[in-house]
Amino acid sequence: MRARGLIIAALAAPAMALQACAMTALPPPQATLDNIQTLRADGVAPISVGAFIPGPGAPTQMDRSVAVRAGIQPAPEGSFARYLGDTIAAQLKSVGKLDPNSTLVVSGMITDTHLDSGLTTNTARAALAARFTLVRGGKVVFEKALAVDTTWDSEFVGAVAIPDAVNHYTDLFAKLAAKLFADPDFVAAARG
Amino acid sequence: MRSIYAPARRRAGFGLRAWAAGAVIALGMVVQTGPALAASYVDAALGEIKPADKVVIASPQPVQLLFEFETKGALNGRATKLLKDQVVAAVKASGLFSDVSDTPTANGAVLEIIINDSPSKDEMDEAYGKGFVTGATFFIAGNTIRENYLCTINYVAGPTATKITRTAADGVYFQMGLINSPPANAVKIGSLHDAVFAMTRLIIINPLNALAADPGFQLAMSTAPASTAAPGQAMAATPLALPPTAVPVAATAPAPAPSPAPAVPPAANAPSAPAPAAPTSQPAPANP
Repeated sequence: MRARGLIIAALAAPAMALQACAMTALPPPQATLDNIQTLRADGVAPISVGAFIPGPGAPTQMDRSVAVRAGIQPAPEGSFARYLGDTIAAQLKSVGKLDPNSTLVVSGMITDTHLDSGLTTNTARAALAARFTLVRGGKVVFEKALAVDTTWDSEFVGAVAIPDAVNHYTDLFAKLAAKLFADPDFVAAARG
Repeated sequence: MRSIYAPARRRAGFGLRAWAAGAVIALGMVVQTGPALAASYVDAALGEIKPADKVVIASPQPVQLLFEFETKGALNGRATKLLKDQVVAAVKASGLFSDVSDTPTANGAVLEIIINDSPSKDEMDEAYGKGFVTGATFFIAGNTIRENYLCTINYVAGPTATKITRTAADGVYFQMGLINSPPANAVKIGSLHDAVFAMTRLIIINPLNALAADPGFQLAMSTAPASTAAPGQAMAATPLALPPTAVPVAATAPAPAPSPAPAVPPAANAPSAPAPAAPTSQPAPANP
């Protein structure tokens, strides 16, 4: 029985390596307590989430999916830019501040995106930047570019390094949303 | 013969070091041919909560629950999704809240649970090395890998309430190879994912109970307006239990053969009382 298992396992090894190519869909974004407390303290008015689009270059090339070594991670709902909007919507919803009918509308464009699993450098890095716009009653009341990045120890083995990189990359979306909510100019413009 | 992970569970990556070792030998995580080749254990340091130690809230209030599973400090969305139901069930079964939801509640109470799996570079290298040795000897040489988890539970009773925090640590052992001995003070679990599920419940219920004993939590429950949800509703939730394959393992005993023995949590050699959950903040003052 064990010998049979070893043979099957040896045959399964290449299949296991290939499995790294196909990555399952990411779950929808969710709120964090830090963002909830920030939004509560901000006292922002109910906000509607408008369009989030990818900018030219890498943001557009990486909008539908990101590739890490042999792994490809499809974007949730087909767009990482939309994922940023959904992340912001999830945070606002968690404090009851998401209102699709609000005349206060936040939108954004991803201006930079980067993901490097650090195969040759031992240090992996991910970065994300976006230009956010807040419109109140048709008038722009806030516009600013914000960026976040992160580094971590890279792994040589792809089966570990690929999901690790995707985790760190997608985690940046919540961090960028947190940076927006903590921005004093945004808070001042979004207050009711 | 069965897969130790279903595909989705394998990709969730909530056992990073075990996954690393398995990736090196390209074997252990794929096929389980018997307990000598791959076995999983949960550290018995965190046991079940004794009835006498269980905090009972007379008038439970609703709470908004947030849960994250993090790997190396970054949100692991797949593992979060996979464990979410277990986390919700554990919180409901605690009986500390009248209702548990992922949307805002009228009282503004929020319970955040974060489980982090953050092996260091050295620990990862050790896992690779162990996986290599086991693979190179065609599973003759056995190895045990311990996956360490840290759970942080944060609670705020309302929009202006002080945050109360409790933490707890636990571990899951994953074994490969023929020549091996069971880890000390651990409960044998059928598969790695079952072990992580069992660990998840234990690493939540212990610090959650400690949090409920905090004067700030008690005061919030006693001064909060009457809940709109039926008191005791959370008690209706089905409590999680160790899987039926869980077997207490003596520290010096050889690995037992697979057995459909009933669950006997915690392990016979586990401490009689659960390990105290560590407070990481001072008891909160009275919540406004």
